[in-house]
Amino acid sequence: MIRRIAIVLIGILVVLLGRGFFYYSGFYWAPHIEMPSFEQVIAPLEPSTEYSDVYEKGEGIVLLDIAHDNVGVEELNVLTSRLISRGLTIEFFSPGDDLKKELLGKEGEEKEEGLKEKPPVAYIIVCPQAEFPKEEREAINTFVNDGGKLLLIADPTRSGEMNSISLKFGLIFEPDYLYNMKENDANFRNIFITEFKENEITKDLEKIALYTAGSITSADCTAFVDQNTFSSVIETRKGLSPIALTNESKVLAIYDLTFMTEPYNGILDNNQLISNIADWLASPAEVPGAEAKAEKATS
Amino acid sequence: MPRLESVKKFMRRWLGSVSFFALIGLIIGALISIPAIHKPNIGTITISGLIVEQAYVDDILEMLRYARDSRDIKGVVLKIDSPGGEASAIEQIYLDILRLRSRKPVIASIGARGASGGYYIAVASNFIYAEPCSQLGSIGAWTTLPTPEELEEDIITSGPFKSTGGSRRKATAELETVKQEFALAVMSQRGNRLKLSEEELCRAEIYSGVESLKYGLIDDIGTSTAATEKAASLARIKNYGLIDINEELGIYRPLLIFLSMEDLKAQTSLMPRYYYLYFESR
Repeated sequence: MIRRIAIVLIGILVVLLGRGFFYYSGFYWAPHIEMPSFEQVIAPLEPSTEYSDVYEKGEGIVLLDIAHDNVGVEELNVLTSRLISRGLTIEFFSPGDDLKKELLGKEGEEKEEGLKEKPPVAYIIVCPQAEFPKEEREAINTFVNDGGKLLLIADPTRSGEMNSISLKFGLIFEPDYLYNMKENDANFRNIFITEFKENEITKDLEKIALYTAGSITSADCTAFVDQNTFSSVIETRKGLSPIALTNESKVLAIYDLTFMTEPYNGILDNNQLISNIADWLASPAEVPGAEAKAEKATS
Repeated sequence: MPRLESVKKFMRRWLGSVSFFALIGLIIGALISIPAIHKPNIGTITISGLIVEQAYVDDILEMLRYARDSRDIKGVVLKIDSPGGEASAIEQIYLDILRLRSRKPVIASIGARGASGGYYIAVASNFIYAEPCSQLGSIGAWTTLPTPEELEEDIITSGPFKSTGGSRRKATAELETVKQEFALAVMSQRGNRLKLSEEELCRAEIYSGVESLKYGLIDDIGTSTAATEKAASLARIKNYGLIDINEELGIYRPLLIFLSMEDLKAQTSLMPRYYYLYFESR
């Protein structure tokens, strides 16, 4: 009886093994699954720094361009409040206004009617989207030649018509953005700058943070990116710069707007940079030959 | 002669008895083995298009659950052709594939595109195949920063960030952590096979299948046929069948195949949403 049962069992086993071996050659042994260690994930943000603005009172009119589809005035609140605190008056160049009349006072164009008694000391153009006609470009050139200061602020996120003005002063706003994958303020487009050429714009600056800045090509660049910062477009050049001060320190070009808006103005030395810009706009320009010109006008 | 007869009789009796009982054993064995040892199958799951709709995510999770629970499915091939989708949706799928992989081998077969979230899903598998010109990589994330709320007289919130979730700066920092999570997921699953540093990964470049093989983003060049054979090999099965799980569960492609920048902007509300998604911004 036992033998018969054994035969039956062997028969069963043969079928089971046969079928098993027909389909399987072993078992799946799951490898150890490495779970990502999410506790490693950190995004350090540069904390805001306290800043108290120290300034000297000045006077004069600063003309702010809002006639070329520029950014909203409220985006410039930080800069304009610094200018006002320095005793400067903000006036707007609005659509329909004549830039020649607004920029060049009677001193510059004595014969023409309607020119301002007192021309502005500075003209600010921020992210213009509309083209500047030839007459306006000429008026800007004359204004700068006469000693007026020109602040050009562009931003890679708002491409525009800045080069039509800046080229005359040897400045090219490149169609790029700067990035750093190694050291940044929470995003590769938020770069730090620590290398500066000494001048009134870079006074007391150690480290600033720019938020999607572009590079400016100029012979008079004043702030330089480090070796880990690259341009999204330019691959053949090192030492790129988003800030340039040119034309005998009368034209300042900055290729980032965000750093001077809340809350980014509070990061590192950004507030100091904004104050330096305000001081620069408030201080009288040193124009070679200006005294001779003034004497000639008096006689 | 009588002695020979008795030997023959004895043999006949015994042989007859052995054959009979052996036959009985074989029949019983067959009756037991057919339900006990099923024909093994490789299940295929097709994941395509944009993964943003929760309904589609639920469908994918349902297919993964089916593959995990089915006794007949011994290995799974994920046929991926996707540019990714919403971060949380991708992470749900990624984690469920890891669970499935702890029980059955999972092989990814990337078709035209396994970029961003599409690649995130693929890295959860044991082995990744792609075609020579497949588009892979784009390891990174997107978000739109929260827009300032428009205050209304009749609607008030209990806190300043109730409707926006936080500041734009905080959202930027969160995007960085989302990116790091993606990179960590890739590095933890690819391990020593990966030939790119974290910094190189986070450049979010698109690589061809051939480049991806060189950089260790995939394991081999091949189609879904090779993936099926690999799944069978890892599952250690022969003479297997194929089960199309999409067809089995009646799940097909998502309604939304492509998302443009404008669509993305239109989808965003006050609060930022994060995407593991590849698309050209212009």
